[in-house]
Amino acid sequence: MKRPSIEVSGGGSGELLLDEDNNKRSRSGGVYIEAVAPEEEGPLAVAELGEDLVLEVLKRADAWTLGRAACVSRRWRRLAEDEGLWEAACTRDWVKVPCGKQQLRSVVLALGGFRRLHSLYILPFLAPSARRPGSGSLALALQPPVSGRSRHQPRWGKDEVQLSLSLLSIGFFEKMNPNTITRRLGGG
Amino acid sequence: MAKMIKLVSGDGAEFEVEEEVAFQSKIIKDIVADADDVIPLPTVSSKVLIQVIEYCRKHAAVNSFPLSPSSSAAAAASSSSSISYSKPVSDPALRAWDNEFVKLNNSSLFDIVIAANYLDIEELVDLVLETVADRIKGKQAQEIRRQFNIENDFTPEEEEALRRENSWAFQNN
Repeated sequence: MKRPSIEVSGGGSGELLLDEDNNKRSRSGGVYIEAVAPEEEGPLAVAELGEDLVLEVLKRADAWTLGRAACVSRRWRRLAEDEGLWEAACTRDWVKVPCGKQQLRSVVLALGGFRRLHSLYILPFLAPSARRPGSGSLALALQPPVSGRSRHQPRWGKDEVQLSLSLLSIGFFEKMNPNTITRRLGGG
Repeated sequence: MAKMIKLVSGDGAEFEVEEEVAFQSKIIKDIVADADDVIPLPTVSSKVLIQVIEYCRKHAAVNSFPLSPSSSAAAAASSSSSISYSKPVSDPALRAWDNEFVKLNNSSLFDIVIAANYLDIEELVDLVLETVADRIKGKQAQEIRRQFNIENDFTPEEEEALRRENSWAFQNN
């Protein structure tokens, strides 16, 4: 089967080619080859990707994508704010998880969750060029080489991870009602 | 002569494929174990089934006749591991073939992943999901809506609040 060899435009300027004529592609029998550019869409032609599959797609997404995904629709927001996805997005770039995964999960969830951890105590500490997704090639060249899929966030070592987790704990306790604390300590 | 399995698509077309090709689908493997050689797939159209068979044929060939000792070791390892994504296909030629294979529009990809999910062809599901995830990377919310044909059901106020909350994610490239 011959397919047109067309470059798929990933991030960057990300221009979508829209099919202006709203072509409906009917499903006739037999073999036919769809000679369309990979991101051309007729609005009526897209199959409905169930929630499970959308969740699976988001499992492979980085934090920036999750942030944008939350703005797509109500259902996507619910999916994109799932703590499991944020756990994956955060820990993906950690060289080593400081304790057992289950333990980490319990603690972080009790202290406010991974999404909160990311927005308050991870994001502000990313190098300025790492914070901008799809930085120009010069900025990327100045960073230490990063392997694998995390093009945007450099790998975090033990110290950075511990710092964020500590700040998360402190932030949590600061928010606790001071009256509760004094009552507990003083009242017995 | 290799044993043949007959697959029947939703719109009635019949496809005879070698057993090892069909067995890329765990579902089919289980059904055939119960001694049933004709497998109706009412939810899968011919067009999609042809593409899925093409994938299975390519991957069955590589799995049975590894090009190098390392790729066969990787194939053995990946088939025994439980579901884990980002499990890269080690053979670069196969990976290149996979990348060509997924150069389809979103509509076709969604059809394929739904069928592959139904047929339990783990690697194909993984491949398509990775591709889709790559496509939404770097896209704005409006573009994601267009790609997935999703209606924006936020009120303007909600949308504004969300954009503010997630403004860090929207810094343009």
